[in-house]
Amino acid sequence: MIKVNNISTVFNKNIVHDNISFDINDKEIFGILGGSGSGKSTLLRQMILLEPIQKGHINIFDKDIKKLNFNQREDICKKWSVLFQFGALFSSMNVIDNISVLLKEHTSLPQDLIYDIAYTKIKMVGLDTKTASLMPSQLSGGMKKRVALARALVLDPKILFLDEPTSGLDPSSSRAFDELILNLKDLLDLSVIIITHDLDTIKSTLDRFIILDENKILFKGSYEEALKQNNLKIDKFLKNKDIFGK
Amino acid sequence: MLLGIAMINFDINGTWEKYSLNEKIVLLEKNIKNIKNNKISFNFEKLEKIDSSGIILLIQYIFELKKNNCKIEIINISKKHQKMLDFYTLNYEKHSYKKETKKNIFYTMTQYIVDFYKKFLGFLYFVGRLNFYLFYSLCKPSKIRFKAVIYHIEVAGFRIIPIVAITMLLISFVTAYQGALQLEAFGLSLQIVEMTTMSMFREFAPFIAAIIVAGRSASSYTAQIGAMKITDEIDAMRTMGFAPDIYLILPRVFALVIIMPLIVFFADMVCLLGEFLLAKFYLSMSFSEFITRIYNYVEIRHFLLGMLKAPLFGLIIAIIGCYRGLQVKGSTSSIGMLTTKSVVDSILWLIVVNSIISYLSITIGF
Repeated sequence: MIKVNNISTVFNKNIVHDNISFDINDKEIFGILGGSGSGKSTLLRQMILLEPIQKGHINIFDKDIKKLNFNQREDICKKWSVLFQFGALFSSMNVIDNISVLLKEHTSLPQDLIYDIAYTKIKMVGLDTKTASLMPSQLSGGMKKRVALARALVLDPKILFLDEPTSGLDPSSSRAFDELILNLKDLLDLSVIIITHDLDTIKSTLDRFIILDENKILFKGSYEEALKQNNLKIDKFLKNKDIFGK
Repeated sequence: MLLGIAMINFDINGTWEKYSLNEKIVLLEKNIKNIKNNKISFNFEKLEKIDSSGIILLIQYIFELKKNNCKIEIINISKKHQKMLDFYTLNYEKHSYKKETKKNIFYTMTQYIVDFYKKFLGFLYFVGRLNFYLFYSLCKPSKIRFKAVIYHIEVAGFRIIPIVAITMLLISFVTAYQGALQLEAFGLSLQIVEMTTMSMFREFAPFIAAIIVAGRSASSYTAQIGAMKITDEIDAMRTMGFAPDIYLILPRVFALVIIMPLIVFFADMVCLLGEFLLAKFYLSMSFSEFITRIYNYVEIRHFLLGMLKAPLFGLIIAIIGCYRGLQVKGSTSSIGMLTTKSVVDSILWLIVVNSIISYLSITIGF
């Protein structure tokens, strides 16, 4: 579904990616891990056309995303959705409008069905329907994230990009989030690409992942395979051995 | 009733996806809307693709039918679709979305008055706190952020010079030209020099310079402080024991109070240049004639009044800009709203204060 070929990125002589390649399969939950500043977010932003690709190619749905024309761009944007780290809700709209705006713009469904869909999605992500009329500035961080997830799911995307979806959520909400993602993957044939630091998410949710370290891919594979490697650097990511000030 | 016994079959076939769902809605409405006390079976056999919008549409109808005492039967459904159906039925929420109803006019009015009162109190509080920190920093001059003051003087003062120059040159030239044309009928066209100079020194130069500063600085102060408020920078400063008044607001106030008289002086000089150009080319006056005329007829008080007004204007602009910035709350849209407000407010108060000073100065003969 997604093929990343020989990506290299340099910012001000600072090498971020050095010839990175990996594939993401259909209907897979794929993780991108790495320490802060290892270029995970840049990689994600390159996949979703927000950052120019300096060298190499990224193919999504068998199309080189460097060479999309205007219509293809619009099409591909309808097929994926992105959950940004802090939600990125439209601050001038309330929750229900934030969710239904995509349906209003992209489809010609009747108003009441649009609102039914939006309310169902709100309930699906575990929010009370009373939040529907609130403005984003009245929501807590975790609630913003859920609304953003509801918005991301409203068009039934084929690919879901999640940027640190569980950061800032309490542990039980994080687990519920993981479960929801697994559930949705089954139901909707989603491919999910997650940037995460959450050890439980890594353990329970991800099918495969890569670890970025020093501009290269340190590891590519599943959790079990990673444990078998007995590599100190990999263990540092997966076993929470990172201690400040050591 | 025959219909009452018969079972209605409805085939769910083809694709039920949001981009092509409207034709299905037409079908549903035609066939099974408003049916009561009947048995309806949905046949999923020929269904190819369905997405959440399609499922929710079906659930919407199923709920409606169940309300009408209909029996629903779902046949030939694949496991996966059954799972989807169950999942969305569990989460389905029928909600009539209502816009907020209009409130009683008295309610809105009283709320407006209360809001206004609260905002007025808030403004007094802001000014009071600013006074406190002003005296505090005057007692402890080490607390004055001289670097920040210099920076804001540069941004608000020096970069504004070209636009002030062009504006004042054109305004003084045009005013003098129009006046000279009018006064020619009385044979008094030479008098235009001192008339324009007086009105420029007293009113136009300080006021127009202040409006330009308000447009540039009041808006940028509101936007800067507002953005810092949204990103919690101001709260962070408070927790560290840095009063935002000392670090953010007073430097801006000092900067404008210091720089405004200088801008006005510059504006005065450009006005003289504009008038001189007019006098030279239209009235064919020489430079020494022009200067002597001004020296003889324009008293120093006109110049002084303009210069004395300038710091007050600077104060008004800085205070309104910063106050509106601190009012920013919650979302980014409030930055835009308050930036507009700060420019409009500062220009409004400039006009009001200018008129009062103008009236008072005439009554006391200054």
